[in-house]
Amino acid sequence: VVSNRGSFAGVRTGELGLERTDAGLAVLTISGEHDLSTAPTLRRRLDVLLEEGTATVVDLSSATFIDSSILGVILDARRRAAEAEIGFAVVNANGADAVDRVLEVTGLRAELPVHARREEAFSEASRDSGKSPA
Amino acid sequence: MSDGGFELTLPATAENVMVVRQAIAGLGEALGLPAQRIADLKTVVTEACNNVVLHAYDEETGPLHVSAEPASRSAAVRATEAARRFTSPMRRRSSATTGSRLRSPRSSRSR
Repeated sequence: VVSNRGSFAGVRTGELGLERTDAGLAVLTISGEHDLSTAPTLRRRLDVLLEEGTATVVDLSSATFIDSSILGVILDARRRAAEAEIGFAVVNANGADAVDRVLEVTGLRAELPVHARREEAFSEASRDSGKSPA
Repeated sequence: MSDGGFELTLPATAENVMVVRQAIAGLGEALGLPAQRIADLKTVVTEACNNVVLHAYDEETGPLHVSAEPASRSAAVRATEAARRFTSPMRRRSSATTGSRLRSPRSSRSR
């Protein structure tokens, strides 16, 4: 029996990184493995950005694993961003297999458009934003 | 249980899903499964464990039992709690089914 925390030998959760571009976009980078245990943190980060009204790009290029709970959080943020006319786009620039495959298996590829290039995602997030940065 | 399999009993918490996922990935590597197949196995096992973590217990956290049993052409993984069993068949030579099927043969009778 292993201890009840996710800190056992060599097991490490993924990380979230946030940067802001000169154009005022927020880029939330999801790297490593993300699942039910990190979904609440991801949700909180996206909540803050949406409450700010900040156009956001979610970058999955460095993700090595995501599950349905992470997809759910991203889909929910995307829906709320659309309702509030806040730019929102998702990018998987390296074509990370983990992301591609889970979109395929869950049948959510049509539901959640994922750009292959960061520039495209930046462009979509800027274009769609009712509060587009100057 | 066949050689090379494992059984784990952990508290059914979100954090422990990752522990199970790492264990199953290690087993897949030891069996020499292709990377794509290991990735699919991680997804199926994660979602099965998620079901237990999210839906098995109302208030107090109960146990999450996981057993993995490699066979000559497949690896059967079960994530269970007291009333339900989520089974994810893993056929090494049937790529169409891998990672996309999640059967829960006992779920209809539970609760």
